[in-house]
Amino acid sequence: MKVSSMPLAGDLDKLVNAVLSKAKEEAESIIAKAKDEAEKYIKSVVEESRRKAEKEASELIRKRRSEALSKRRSEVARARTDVTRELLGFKEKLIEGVVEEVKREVQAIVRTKEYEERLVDMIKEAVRVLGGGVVEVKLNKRDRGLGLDLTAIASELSQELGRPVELRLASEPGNFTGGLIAKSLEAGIEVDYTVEGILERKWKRLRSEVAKILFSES
Amino acid sequence: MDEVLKRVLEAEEEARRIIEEAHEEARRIEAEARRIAEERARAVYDEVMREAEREAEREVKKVEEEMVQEIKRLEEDALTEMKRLEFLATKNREKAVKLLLAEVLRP
Repeated sequence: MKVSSMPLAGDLDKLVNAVLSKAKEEAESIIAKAKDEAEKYIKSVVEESRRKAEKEASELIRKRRSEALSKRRSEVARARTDVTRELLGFKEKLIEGVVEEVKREVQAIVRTKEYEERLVDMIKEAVRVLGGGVVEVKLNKRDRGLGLDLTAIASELSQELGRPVELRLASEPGNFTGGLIAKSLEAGIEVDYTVEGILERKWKRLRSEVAKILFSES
Repeated sequence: MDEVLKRVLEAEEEARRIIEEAHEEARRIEAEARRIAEERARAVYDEVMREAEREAEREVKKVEEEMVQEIKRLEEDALTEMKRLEFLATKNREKAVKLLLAEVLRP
């Protein structure tokens, strides 16, 4: 019994060792698999998070850029409008400068002999427009002092028009730089040939012409 | 034989314990992996978004700088145009005044 039990004991040890060794091997395999899966899982979750973040990041950058561009368009458009308005204002100031200079020049001209002749021509033209008859002529205070011979002018016009013409100086002086206001006392019609009136009437037409000359390159 | 059976059973018991511990360790590894994954995912997400914020700020700054330059150019162009207009107006003023003056004294 003793002799035969020895190999049995050795076989048993081998068997036990084999069982334990197999178990350890399987345990190692289970753990290795768990580690491998854990590694893959971590990688997968991180990658998914990165993809999600990159998508959101891309959208964030796009949105911020879009907002900035929109603001830029709006600000530039406003600046363009401001600049255009400023330029137009500046041009207008230069054009108005011509009008102001003309007014100053007129102040000087109305003191010349040439103006007196012009004034007589203007009176004649006004009477022609009114068709003669009794016409009241309003002049400014200075021009009233020129001593124009209204009777002689009326006589000349009477011959020209072939009907009676009578010119009466208005009792009150006009408050204008030069020129006159003529009124037909029969028809009740009035013509405004004052410097200011003429300028105002002609300005709409002349403004573009003045601007064209003023800003001409040639 | 009882002794043999006993040792075999003990070995099998030990083997089961070893495997059970391995499963336990695997579950622990899995749980740890979930925690690490969550932590790293958050870190990656935050880092990408932080970089995106920085990138967005750079983009906005760039667009704003371009805007400032564009407005500056507009203003400079306007100033140049004003100088040109002023020069022309000075050069042509007399001609324009003459035209207007002739018209003012002619009804």
